Amino acid sequence: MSKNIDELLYEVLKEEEAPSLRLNRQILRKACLEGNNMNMRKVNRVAAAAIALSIAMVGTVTTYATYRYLHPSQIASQVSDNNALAKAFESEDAIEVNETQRSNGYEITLLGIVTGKGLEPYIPKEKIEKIQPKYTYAAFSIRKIDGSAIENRNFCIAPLIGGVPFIEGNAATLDVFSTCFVQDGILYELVQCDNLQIFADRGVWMSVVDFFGEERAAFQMDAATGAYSKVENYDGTSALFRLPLNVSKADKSATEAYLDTIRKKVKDEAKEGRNGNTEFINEKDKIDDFLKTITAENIDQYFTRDENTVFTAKPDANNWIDFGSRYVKEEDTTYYGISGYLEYLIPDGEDFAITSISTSEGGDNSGTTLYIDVIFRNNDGSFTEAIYTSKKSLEELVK
Amino acid sequence: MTIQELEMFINEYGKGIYSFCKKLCKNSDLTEELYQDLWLKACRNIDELETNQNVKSYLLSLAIGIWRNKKRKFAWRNRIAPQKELIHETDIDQENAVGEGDILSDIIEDERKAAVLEAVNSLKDHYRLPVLLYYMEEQSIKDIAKLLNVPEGTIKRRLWTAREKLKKKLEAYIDE
Repeated sequence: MSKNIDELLYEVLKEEEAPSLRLNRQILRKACLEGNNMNMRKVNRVAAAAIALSIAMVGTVTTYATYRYLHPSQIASQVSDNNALAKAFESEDAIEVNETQRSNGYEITLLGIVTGKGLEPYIPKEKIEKIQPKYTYAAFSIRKIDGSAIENRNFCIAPLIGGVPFIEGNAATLDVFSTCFVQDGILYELVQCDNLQIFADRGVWMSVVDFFGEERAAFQMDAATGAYSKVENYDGTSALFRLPLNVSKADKSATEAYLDTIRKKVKDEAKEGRNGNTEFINEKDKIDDFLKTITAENIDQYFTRDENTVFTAKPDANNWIDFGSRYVKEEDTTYYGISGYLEYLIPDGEDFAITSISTSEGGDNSGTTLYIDVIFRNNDGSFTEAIYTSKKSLEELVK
Repeated sequence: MTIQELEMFINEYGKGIYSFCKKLCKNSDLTEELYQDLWLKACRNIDELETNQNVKSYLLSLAIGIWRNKKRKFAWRNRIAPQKELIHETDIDQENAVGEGDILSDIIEDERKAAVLEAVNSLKDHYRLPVLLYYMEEQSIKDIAKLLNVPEGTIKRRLWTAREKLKKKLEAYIDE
């Protein structure tokens, strides 16, 4: 027997070809759907442990929880009116993330994402305006850890971009839109937002909190690296997923143009907010005249400071200041400081400024209460912001 | 079996089993069908998997069993609409390689592989299966006998006969 025929056969026949990702996914989905008919008993623990160990030794184990849930394409089919998005989630361009985090009694899984380019082949010409190739779509599943039925509600799911403060990069500025539904006790949420691929080199995260605005308390951005992370001991739902975007597809010039547009919008809104708050308040001129008499020295004569709203911060290199937020457990309330470009909050050379005013009518004929949001310049270069409540009614103050 | 455990098994054995299915079926579409049916059957017969310490061997036996049951269906389908055999796909790859200007040794290597695959595929099934299981899956004579439900002596004889046939066909590619 020739040794060489054996060598030849071993060499050629041992070459392996891997099945496609699509095929394996298809099998897992079919198995999931057949799940109720299967004899779902535990696999021999020795065999399973050996498999897990061998996989751990030869490479990374996919973090998965997915196949007990709907596939992103199935979620897309439920919430959109054509197959384009569902097909896009089935494509090789879709990124399966399948990462799960637990928070506040919920198990939150980012199932997968697909960005602009991945959608283009699947959008019929007549639908091109509805499903936008310029968007990123992300699919989530959320269930209660205790197995009880989950409420049908939108969690606030939105991107956070590395190095971009929340006030600039959030659900509102990134044009986030989401739909959700509950199936078999699991909440599925499909989130649409502006194309995140361009930010790939900065790092992009998908954040999950109970309500919009709570991101500021739940997450923090490292001033040096721009990376986002979770705030420890945050008392609420919070999950943060770093997106595995392809850095080579980042687009610096598109990023800068996009962020410039947002910054301009935020500046304009800050200006409007400061000047426009009094529009709906009666006796505007009288109030303005009265407030012109208020200084850092006499404010305590007319107003009481709300200690829960006192925040101190320093501006960043761009002269942007963010006073942050604070959760007060006893009141189950989060207090938010303001943020904005300093030049719109307190003029240069001034030590004190009133940034906004508001009123509320007393329900017991006690008159109108005046609230002012003030900012002080401190000697060490920091600034302190707080809300003050008038000691007397507005009517008494301005008569 | 939980879905996570199924995924673990697919990650561990999927590539090897898929390659075996491909050589068994000699056709990409049929390969996918066999591969898929195999895993779904593995899920349904969880008891069998539990009692088998040699998971790979069990999966191979499933592949062979399903393939045998489907052979008649494959043959019938082939009569109506002849399926493109795998070997032709390899030929096409060679043409593409030439088009891309591969170096001569790569072309010769591809030709050699194609010749080996063609020779193995030309064997009758009762010779081809032992060859695939022995060289590709590195199963022992004893395990092959168990998988194919024939005596060990029969397997030894078939392997010997298969080698002789292949030596003749591949004499241009082996040392004298």
